[in-house]
This record gives sequence, C-alpha cells and structure tokens, in this order.
Amino acid sequence: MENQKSKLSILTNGLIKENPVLVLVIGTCPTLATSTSVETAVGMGLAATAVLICSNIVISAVHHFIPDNVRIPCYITVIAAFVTIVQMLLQAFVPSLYSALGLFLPLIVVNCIILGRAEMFAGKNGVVDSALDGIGMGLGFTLTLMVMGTIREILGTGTWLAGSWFGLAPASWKGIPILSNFIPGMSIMTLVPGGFFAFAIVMAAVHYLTRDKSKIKNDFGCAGCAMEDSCTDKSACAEKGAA
Amino acid sequence: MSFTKILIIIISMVLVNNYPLAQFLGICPFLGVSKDIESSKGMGIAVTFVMVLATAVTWPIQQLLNKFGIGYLQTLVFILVIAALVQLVEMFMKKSMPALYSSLGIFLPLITTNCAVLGVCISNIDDGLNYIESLVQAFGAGIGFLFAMLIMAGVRSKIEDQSRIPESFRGVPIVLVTAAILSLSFMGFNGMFS
Amino acid sequence: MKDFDKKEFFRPVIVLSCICFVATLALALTNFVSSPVIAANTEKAAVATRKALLADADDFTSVTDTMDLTSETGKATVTDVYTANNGAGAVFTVETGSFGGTLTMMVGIDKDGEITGVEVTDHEDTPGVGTKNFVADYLGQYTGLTALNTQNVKKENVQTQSGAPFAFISGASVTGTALHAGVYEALAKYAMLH
Repeated sequence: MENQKSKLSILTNGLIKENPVLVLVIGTCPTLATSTSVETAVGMGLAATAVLICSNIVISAVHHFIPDNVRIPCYITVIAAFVTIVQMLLQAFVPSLYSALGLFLPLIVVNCIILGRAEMFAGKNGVVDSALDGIGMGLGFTLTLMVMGTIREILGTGTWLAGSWFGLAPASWKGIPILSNFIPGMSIMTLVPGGFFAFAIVMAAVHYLTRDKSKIKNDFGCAGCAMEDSCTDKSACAEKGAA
Repeated sequence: MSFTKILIIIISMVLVNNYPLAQFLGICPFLGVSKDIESSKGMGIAVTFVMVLATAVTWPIQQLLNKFGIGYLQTLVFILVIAALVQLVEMFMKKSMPALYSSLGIFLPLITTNCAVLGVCISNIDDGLNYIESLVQAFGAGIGFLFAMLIMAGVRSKIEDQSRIPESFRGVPIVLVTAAILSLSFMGFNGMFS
Repeated sequence: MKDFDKKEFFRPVIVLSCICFVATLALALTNFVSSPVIAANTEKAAVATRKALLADADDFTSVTDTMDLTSETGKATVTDVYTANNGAGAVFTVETGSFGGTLTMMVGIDKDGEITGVEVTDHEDTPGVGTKNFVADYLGQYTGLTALNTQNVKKENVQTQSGAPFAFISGASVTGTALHAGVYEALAKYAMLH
C-alpha cells in the first residue's frame, strides 16, 4: 500500500468500503450462526476482533523471518494459538459466552477474514498499520453481526438487546420490548432459515444503497477467498467465478 | 456398533443435522461453488474424502493429547494436521492420479479453510464418539454436504436468468433466499427418528 | 541433487518449529492461568444446581466412590452422587445418549424418594424441537414422582403427580426417551442408597 495512505483510512476501510462480510462476502458461517441475538453477535464479533488484532500484530512483526513456502502454515499456527487463548480465557472468565458460541469459538481459526487479512495486509505492512487494519476489519465484522443480530432478535423474540450481557446486566434485565407487546416472536428467525433470510435482506439493502457507486461484489469468486494467493489453479477458480 | 446405529448416524447427518443447511458449517463453499452441478459434485466428494481422512487422523491424536493432559492444543494441532493432510493428498493425487486430480484437485486448497472439516473433527471429540462412530459421522457429514451442494446447484440453475429478480436481490441475496427456503424445507426432517 | 541448498531446506523447518514452540508455550501459560478458574467455575455451577434441585439440603457430600454405578437400564449412567449432609436427600448426575451426543442431567430426590427437580446441565442437541424438552415446564412434570412404571416413554402412559398424563413432546422422542432413561436410572440408584 502507498505511503500517503492515512492511518484513518486504514481504520475505516474495514468498516464500510471493504467490510469483510458485506463487501468481500467472507466469514459467512459465524455471521449466520452466531447472530441469533445481539448479545452472542457482539460476543462473537469481539472474540474474532481480539484474535484478528493480535494475529495481525504478530504476523506483521515476524513476517520478514518467515520463508515464503511455509507462510500459510506459520500464519495458521499463530492464529490458532490466539484462538485457543481467547477460548480458554472466555471459558474461565465469561463461561456464558463460551457455551453460547460453542463450536464456533474454535472455528474462528478457519474464519476466512483472519487468514485473509494476514495474507493480504499483515504480511505486507508494518505493525501499527496492521493493528489498525485489525481493529477496523474486526469492528466491521462486529457491526455487521450486530445488524444481523438486531434483525433476528427483534423479529424472532420481539425484544432487543436481551440477555445477561456476559453477567454484566442486572438479573431483571429482559431487553427492550420492541414487538413483544404486539405480536409473539417468530422463532423461525432465530433458527437456520431466518439466518439465511436476514442475511439476504441485509445484502439486498447494501446492494440497494450502493447501486450507483457500486464496487460491491455481485458474486462469490476468487477475490474473497483467503487462499487466493496460494491457489494452485487460479484459472479454474476464475472460470467458475465467471461462469 | 450395530448396522442400525451406523445408518441412523448417516441419515441424521445427511438430513436432520445437515451441515450447511442446519448447522451453518461450510457455508462459504456451499454458496460459492454451487454454481453448477459438476463443480458441486467435485467439491462435495473432495470434502467428504478430506473429512473422513482428517477424522481418521485427528481422533487418535486427540487421545494422545488427552493422555499427556494437553487437550487444549486441540485447535492448533487439528488445523495444522488438516492443512498438512490436504497438501499431502494434493501432491499424491497430482502424481499418481492425474485424471482425478484434474476434476477434484482444484478444490483441495479451498478445503483447509473450510470450517466444516475442522468442525466435524472437533464435534466428533466433543460428542464423545468412538473411532468407528466418528468415521461414520464424518462420512455422513460429507455426504450431507455433497447432497446440499447438489440440490443447491440444481435450484440455482433455475435462477440463472436474473432478469425477473428485483435488481437489489440479484447475485448474492437471491442465492441466500434460496438457501433460506432450502433450509426451511430441511427443518421438516427435524425429529424424524422416533 | 547437486546444488542442494541446506539453508533453503532447513530455514522453513526451523522457523515453523520455532513458531509452533512459542505458540505451545503461550498456550501452556494461558492454560496454567485459566484452568483453575475453569475448574472452580464448574464446581460452583454444580453446587448451585444441586442446591436448586434440593432446596432443603444444607451441604453435600460426594458418595460416588462408595456406590456401584453399573447402569441398570443400559441407556444411562450415573456419574456422580451427592447426598445432603442433613439427610434431605440426594442429587444424581446422569449421563445419557441423546440425539446430538451425550446429554448430562442432574436429578434431585428427597428423603421420601420423591423427585424434587430435573435439570439438563449439558447437551449436544441442536436447538429446535428437541431442546423444548429442557424447559422447566416439561422437566417439572417429573417433580413429585417416586417411581416411573416404565423405562420407555412411549409404551405405557406415565402419569405426573397430579394424575394427569405425562405430556411428551411429539417429534422429539429421542431426547424425551433419553431424559426419561436418565430419571429412571437416578431412581434406581436412589433405591440402592438405602
């Protein structure tokens, strides 16, 4: 990246212009699985952000020493280590979140966003820039999850921001009633089909809002794939993408 | 380990607990590669193969880790083993089975970051399954993934003409709506065992 | 190979090994810090659940080691037994196989042999129809019973304490049967306490 690029633009890049979920269409599994309520969405977002910032910092600091041919295994090792650390700390200090995220906590390791940023940004930039990139991308991911969580929670249960908030909220906190006074929650929205549906709505809204200045990816292709650089047969991927 | 139990695990992994449609695992390739039947088939078979192989290797490793009381290395060791395994399979295939490689090989690098593979390895351990059950569950999960990919590819071929779709829904959103309806229909399998 | 470059060959290996070593060290350190907290949390949660299930009890003593815990039903196994120090009853931890894998539940039984409460503490079932079996309304139906006339939830009518027929959730019989077997097993072990 060019030198004159301001620190601020690196930070804000991930929020909107290169939002990992909405623009690059990566990291869809955790987005769909953990956005059942705003609480779990924020939990997942922050856990992934913590891993992303740490791995970005470490990888940008040591990438000069890493030979090119073992680049990916080294990145994966660093990421896996941070994921496990976050996992153990959550289990010890925020057990409610640990059990809410379940299998998707260790699966942060294969979240394309993190390996993707390591490959595309941290492996080529300095420590400070990489940290900022991690914060921006992580917050972009968290915000998207929160939007999804908001839609699914309000439609699914009728309340907003309900939950114990990792033990911080008072026991009487039941969330803000938005729809629950009028109609019963449509629990389908908190189940699997609701996840796909809410994501479709959000993506369609993004398409609509950006219809003029559209650089939005209209398809799933090579660019969003974290393994793009190491892809052995890019033509095949491009061909599939173009088909 | 009776035949019935094997059958129940497989059917439940294919229909009830289908990875992409009921568990949100392996969504990226499910949405990204399901463009046409041929590549769906290739990806599905490659994933099934790697899942079974990865389970065959990671299950004994977990027992070893537990024995030394370092079970917390699970994520780290599993993902490295899967990455190495995928690399080995790719090299082996390229050398000795070029025909197979040309149809499946291109999907292999994508599989390392496929959360369904790591997911099945970890949930086999979490569920406390024995070795045979784990292998069967991995196989079932792979077949379920293949099954979902094929259905999805079939449906998507019908929406190729996007002119009748509202502009904002063209591309990714309509695929997600399709997936939503598909997973809704798969919910009908919930509780089919009694 | 003539111009075999040792440096080119060993450097990647050394770097990767170093990174793995540092990563493992970091994990060991975190584990050292977090594992006592996790153990304390688990213990605290278990104590709280036991208290909630058997409100009359003051404190609990484990009698797990003094008992023969061989499964009576073959479907569920009692893993832990705690008796109340003031003789108010006992709480059983039972593991049973449900839909998604192992289901762990706790059953409180008072000094008269009446069930004071059932709670699911851990399960692998996917959220949906099956998990409706875990809500207090459903599990509360066991409260007050002293015996189950059958191991099977479907064959004969089980009655709640008030005499009303037991309302099983249709379409979720695997989970229902697993819970039922767990309660049955706990009652059987309770009989052995005296």
